[in-house]
Amino acid sequence: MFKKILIANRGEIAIRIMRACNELGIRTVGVYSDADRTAPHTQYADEVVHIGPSPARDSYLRADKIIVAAKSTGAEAIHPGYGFLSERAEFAQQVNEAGLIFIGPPASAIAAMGSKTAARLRMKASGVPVVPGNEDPVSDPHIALTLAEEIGYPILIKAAHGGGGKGMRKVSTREEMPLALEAAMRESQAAFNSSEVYLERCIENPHHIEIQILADKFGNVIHLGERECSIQRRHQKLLEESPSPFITPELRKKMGTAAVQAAKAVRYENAGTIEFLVDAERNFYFLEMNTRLQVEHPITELVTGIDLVKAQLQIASGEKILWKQSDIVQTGWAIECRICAEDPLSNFLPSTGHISHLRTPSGPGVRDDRGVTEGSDVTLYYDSLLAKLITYGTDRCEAIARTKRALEEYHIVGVTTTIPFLECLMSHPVFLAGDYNTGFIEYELSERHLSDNRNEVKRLVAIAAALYAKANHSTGHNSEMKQVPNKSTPGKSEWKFAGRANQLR
Amino acid sequence: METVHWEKMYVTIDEETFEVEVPFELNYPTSVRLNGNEIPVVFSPLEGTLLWMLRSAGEKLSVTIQSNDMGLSVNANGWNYGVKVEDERTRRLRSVLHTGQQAVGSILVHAPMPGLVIRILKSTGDLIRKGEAYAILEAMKMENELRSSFDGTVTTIHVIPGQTVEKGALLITIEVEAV
Repeated sequence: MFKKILIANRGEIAIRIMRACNELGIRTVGVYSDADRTAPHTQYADEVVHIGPSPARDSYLRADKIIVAAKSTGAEAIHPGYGFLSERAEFAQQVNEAGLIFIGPPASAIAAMGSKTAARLRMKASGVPVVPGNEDPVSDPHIALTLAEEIGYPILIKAAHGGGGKGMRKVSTREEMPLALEAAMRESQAAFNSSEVYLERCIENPHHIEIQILADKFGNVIHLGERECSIQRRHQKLLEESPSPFITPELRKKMGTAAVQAAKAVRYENAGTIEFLVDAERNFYFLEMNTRLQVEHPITELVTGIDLVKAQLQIASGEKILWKQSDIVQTGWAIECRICAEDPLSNFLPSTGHISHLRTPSGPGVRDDRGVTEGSDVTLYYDSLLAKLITYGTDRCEAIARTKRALEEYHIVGVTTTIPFLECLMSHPVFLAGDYNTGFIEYELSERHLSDNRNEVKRLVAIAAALYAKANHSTGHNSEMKQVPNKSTPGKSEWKFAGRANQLR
Repeated sequence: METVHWEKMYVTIDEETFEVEVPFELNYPTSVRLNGNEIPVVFSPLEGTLLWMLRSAGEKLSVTIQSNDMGLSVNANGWNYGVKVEDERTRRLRSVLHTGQQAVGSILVHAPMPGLVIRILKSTGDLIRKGEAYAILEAMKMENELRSSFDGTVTTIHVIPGQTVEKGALLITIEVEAV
C-alpha cells in the first residue's frame, strides 16, 4: 500500500479521499488555489502545495504543476477525484511517465470511453446493448434524413466527443432536421472543439440508471449494483438512490452482467461506472462510461458496506479485489441529496456569498460529506456543489423519512441552496411512489410548486421577524440594528472538531 | 383582567405586508395579533447560534435571523426571506418622504455573475415583463437565464453574444415608466 499520495482536487471529494487515506495510514498531500488558501480540504491535508491562481485552468487543471507538487513532496500516486483532470487520458499518461501511479483506469481505457462513437462500436462488438443509431459522423442534412428514416423518429443528435447535454438536439420530425443538425454541430464545435455529431434514437423520458463496477489488474471485474439517477435537471443530477425503485432483481442481474462486459471490453481497471438508459418497458441501453469515482458513490458504499475509495487505493497499489461477485449484497436503502449553491426559484441560477451560519444534520443514518464550513466564501470559480447529504435506512420509507428529517435540521445561511427543492421532493407523491423518470422535474415539480411551498410559512416568518425586531429594537430603516456576533472561532479547526463529533455516532 | 397594550408593526415580505401586533411588554408565553387574529406564541433563541424557535398553536418553525442594510434576512425551511419591519411612526415617515417605492426611469441592469454571454433574447425597443428572461449567461459550466426584475422597455443592449463579462458589467438598459 502507498505511504503518501497527492489528491488533485478540492471540496468535499478531496476530503472524502483524504478520510480514506487517513484510515489506511496513508499521508495526504493537498493542492490549493488562491481562493482555497483556507478551504476545508486545504486544512484537512497532512501537507499542502499551492498550485496557482483561483481560476481552475490556472490551478486544478494544471497537470504540470500537480505532477511537480507530487514529485517534490515524495507522493507515490495521484488521486484525481471527479471533474478537473480525472477523465483526461493524457493526464493519466503524464502521471505514469513521471514515475507516479494514477489512481484510476489506464489512459487507454479513458481514451476508449472518451469518444462516444468509438465506445458505442466497442460495446456493440462485445454484446452490450446500445441505443439504436449510427456511429458515422454526419454533417450533410440529406444523409442525416436518410439515416433518421432507418433509425426512426424521434431522433437525438449527439456530439461524438461531448457530454453534459451540450451539442445535443432532439428532432421529432423531418422538417426540424436541417436546423437542429446545424445547431448541434455549432454547439459541439464551441464546447468540445469538434463538430462531429451522430444520430441515435431518442428514448423519451428514460430512467437513468448506472452500475458501479470494480476491476483489478488481474482481470477480475465485479459490479456493486445500481444507482437510480433520474432526478435530473438539464442533465445535472440532483438526487440519487440505491437500489432503484424501478428495477427488478432479474434486470439488475442483466445490467450488472452487461456492465462487467463493458468494463472488460476496454480492459478497465479501478472503480468505474456504466451509465444506462432504461425505457418504460425495462429495455436498457449503454449510454456512457464514467472512468472515475462518481459524485454519488456514497450510496453504493452504504448499501454494499464497501468503501470505494479504499478499494480504489488497494487496486491502484496492485492488490486483488477482496470480493467475489457472490459476496456483493445490497442491504437497506440509501439516498444522496446534492446540496448546491443554486436558486431553485430562478431556474437553478448559481448563487454566491459568504456562509455566515451553518448547522449540519446528524443522528442515526446520516452522513455529511461536505466541502465548506461556516465562514466559507462560495465563489463562481468552481462547481456549485457544497455538500452531499447521504442517508441510510432499512428500507426506502425509512431512508426518505431520514432525508426529510435531516433536511429540516440543515441550515445554511448566506447562500441560496437547493435544500428547499429537496424538501419539496421528499413530500412529492410521485417521488414517494418511486414512479419517476428523467422527465420528473420538467413535468411534475414546477417552480409554482416550489413558490407555494415558500409562501406556506410566510405568516410565521412575519411573526418571527416582528418579535425579533421588538427584542432588538430594530424597526425602521435608520434605527441602529443590533448585530449578532459571528460565532466562528478562528484558529480552531472546525473540521477536526466536526470529524471527532461525527465519530461519536 | 389586565389591559394589553399592543405595538403595531408592518412586516413586508416580498411584496406582501402583514400587520403584526405585539404586546408592549413581552413575556412568553404570550399572544400576537396577525392581521387582527390573536395567536399564542413562544419565541426563543438557541444560545450561541443565530437560530430562533417560534412555536405557535401546535406549529413550530426554526429560523435564523440576521440584520443587514435592507432590513432582516430570515431563513426558514431552507428558503431565504428578505423582510422589512416598520413601526407605525417609521411607516408614516416613509410615506411622507416617498410617495412610492416603484423604480422609475432608466434602469441599468448589471451581470449578477461573471460569465460568457450565450444569447440575447430581447432586441432594442422590446417590451419586457418582470420575471421574463432577457439573456443567457454561461457560468459554472451551466447556461443560466437572466430575468428582469422590472416591467419596461429595453432601450439599450450593451453586450453581444460571445462576449465574456465580469460580475457587475452593464448588460442592458430598461426604461421603466411611472404607473
